[in-house]
Amino acid sequence: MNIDLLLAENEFRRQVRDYCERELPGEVRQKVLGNLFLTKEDNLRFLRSLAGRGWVAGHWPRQYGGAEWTPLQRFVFEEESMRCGAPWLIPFGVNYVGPVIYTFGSAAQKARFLPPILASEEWWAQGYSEPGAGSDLAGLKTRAVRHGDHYVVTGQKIWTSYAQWADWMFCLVRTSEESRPQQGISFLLIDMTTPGVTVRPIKTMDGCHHVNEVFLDEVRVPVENIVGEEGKGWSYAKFLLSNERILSAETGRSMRQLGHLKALVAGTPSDSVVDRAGFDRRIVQMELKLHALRAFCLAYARSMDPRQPPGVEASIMKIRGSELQQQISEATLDWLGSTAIVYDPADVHGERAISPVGPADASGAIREYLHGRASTIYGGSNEIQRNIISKAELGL
Amino acid sequence: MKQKIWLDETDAALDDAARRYTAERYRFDERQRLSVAARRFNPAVWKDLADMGWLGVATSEEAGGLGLRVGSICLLAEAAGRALLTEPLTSAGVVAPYLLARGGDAAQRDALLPRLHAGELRIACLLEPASVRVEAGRLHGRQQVVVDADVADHLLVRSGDGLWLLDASASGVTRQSYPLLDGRGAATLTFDGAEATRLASVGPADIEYALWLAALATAADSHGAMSAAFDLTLDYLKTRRQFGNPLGTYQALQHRAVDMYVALGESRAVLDQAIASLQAGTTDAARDVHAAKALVGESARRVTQEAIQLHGGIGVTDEYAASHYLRRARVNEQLWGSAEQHFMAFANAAPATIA
Repeated sequence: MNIDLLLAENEFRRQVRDYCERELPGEVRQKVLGNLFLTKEDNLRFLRSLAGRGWVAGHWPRQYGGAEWTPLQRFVFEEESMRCGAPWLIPFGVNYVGPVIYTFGSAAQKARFLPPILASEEWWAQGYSEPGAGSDLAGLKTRAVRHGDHYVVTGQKIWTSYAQWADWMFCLVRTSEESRPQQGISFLLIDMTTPGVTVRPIKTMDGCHHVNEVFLDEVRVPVENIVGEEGKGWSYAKFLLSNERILSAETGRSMRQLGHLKALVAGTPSDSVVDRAGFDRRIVQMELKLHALRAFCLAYARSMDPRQPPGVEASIMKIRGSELQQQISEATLDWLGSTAIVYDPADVHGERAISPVGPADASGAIREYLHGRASTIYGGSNEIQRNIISKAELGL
Repeated sequence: MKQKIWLDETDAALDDAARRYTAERYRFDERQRLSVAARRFNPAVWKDLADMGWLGVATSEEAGGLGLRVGSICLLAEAAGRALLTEPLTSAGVVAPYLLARGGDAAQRDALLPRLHAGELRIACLLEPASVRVEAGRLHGRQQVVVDADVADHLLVRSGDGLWLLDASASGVTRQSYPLLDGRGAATLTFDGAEATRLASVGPADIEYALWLAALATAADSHGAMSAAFDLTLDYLKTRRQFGNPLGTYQALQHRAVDMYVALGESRAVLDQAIASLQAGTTDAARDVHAAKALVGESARRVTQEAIQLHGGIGVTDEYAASHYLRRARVNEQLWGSAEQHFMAFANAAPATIA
């Protein structure tokens, strides 16, 4: 192993930790450590604190305001910041649409849209899934019909995360009917204030408002807001989805949650775990899985060429990472025992000081468990990831 | 992500030679025609391995080897697992030469190392005996299932912090030999005042390091066995037809094959990390090795069991290779510290780099 690279990696890790301890707003960090729901303002405070170091979009090319992080630096930043209590960096602007725009967009689009993403002045949402197009995303039916200088868009999107905060939505729409469903799809940028856009919240089982339905009723979108070529949207969408998967292992989150569980076990007796040795063994099994996942991610990050799209390794990370998260949160609830059935969503919105029974952060742990059930579904369900590996790597 | 960060030119040459040798000279179907005894140990094969340098990857160049090469040790072990090689590679090709080179005196090294490297001498190693004691230079005690002791000329036996060398057929040594589940062999050794010589400069740290080497090599062996089982299974899914279609067109089977593939990728990463850190001597090396032995062992068991299930009936037969990989993996789990022991050692080793 190249020892200089290893030292540089450790030095960068120290810088990220240092940022979390000194510059990340303490209140935001405490909320993250307690697994509470974060408001838009919490997320903005986090992003503004990153801007000072030029870390909002560290992996972007320098010409667009990034720091040209290597894949390894990007991985280390995500892992270490999440481990130390930084929020999940909501990816729709910085990680998703930003790279699509600087890779496929026009000069005017780059000038118009990239700076506000870097400055956290404009929020983005992702208009991908539809009621009839989930895993089978190419089956989407939202139509965009060209009328002069505008596309007129009609249809419905669903599971649109944080659309309630969004100024813009990047959206997959059908601009023509072709023989293959992947053809005839275009990538449009839609101003959320345009007449005909309606956002309706979907409350999830943790009692929080993460996702929405977005109704589009004859929404007029200027033609200059199409990215790349009409009808080529699917290839841009695939580019974006592969970017999405690369960080999906979320090892930093699992490190934090496993640390939280170990602290809980050390400090709070369980009213339901009778076999303590068996429970300790379960923790070590999860530590071993985490060790393996990190070895896999680090090896991948060290060897990957950022100019090439991620391979099936990204799907492996998604599968293993999401499974591990769920196992950790499941074990945490098992330890909490009867305390884990006491839940009032008000607790995770900071509207009540502490939960009435059990450790103070029990509600957050329950929220993490409930919300975490989605991790094997979103971003391409784990079954879809297995289909991808089967086809692309195994040739089945 | 095919490249291994630790691989150098010597490794690549050894790897290439190992692939060719096992494919041409150690074919499963040809070996199946041999008697059980002939399959256990073949002197001609052993000589070939020596000639290719396989028995010198754990000793320094001045001692007549290629240097202590953790990566080479592991890639040869992986080839051995893949080929179901029954010759005593880890005992007589890694652990014994390493310990002799580290702690033998000049006379012991001169007398034994060249013959070990040349394949003229085989030494089995008993490094974690339950109850062997030394009184006035004589060994007393008994140990069951000492791997490769059935084909060894000499023995290295630990007692306390010391390591003792003796002739396997010395008076006071009783050896009851038996086959293992996978065609390799072992013996129960009974020492009743057998005369032995101490390897004067071997300390507990040397023995511990030798155990790490052996454990990691065994994990690599299991990785080889499970990747061969996976390749066989994937091929079968593509060629075997039922209900008018290749088995591999059914999603239920595709996803199981993917899970095997994921386990392989993960096992590869854990192994590579342990190889790199043991070679570099980082503070995490022991933890990485324990993790590798525990995790790869468990994955190998799971993957080789799945290989049998996905094959159906042919998978459980002796004439077909699938079941041999499972048996190989099960034996490996018990060698050089069981998977369970390494799991517990991993649990007790705190990570050093992040705290």
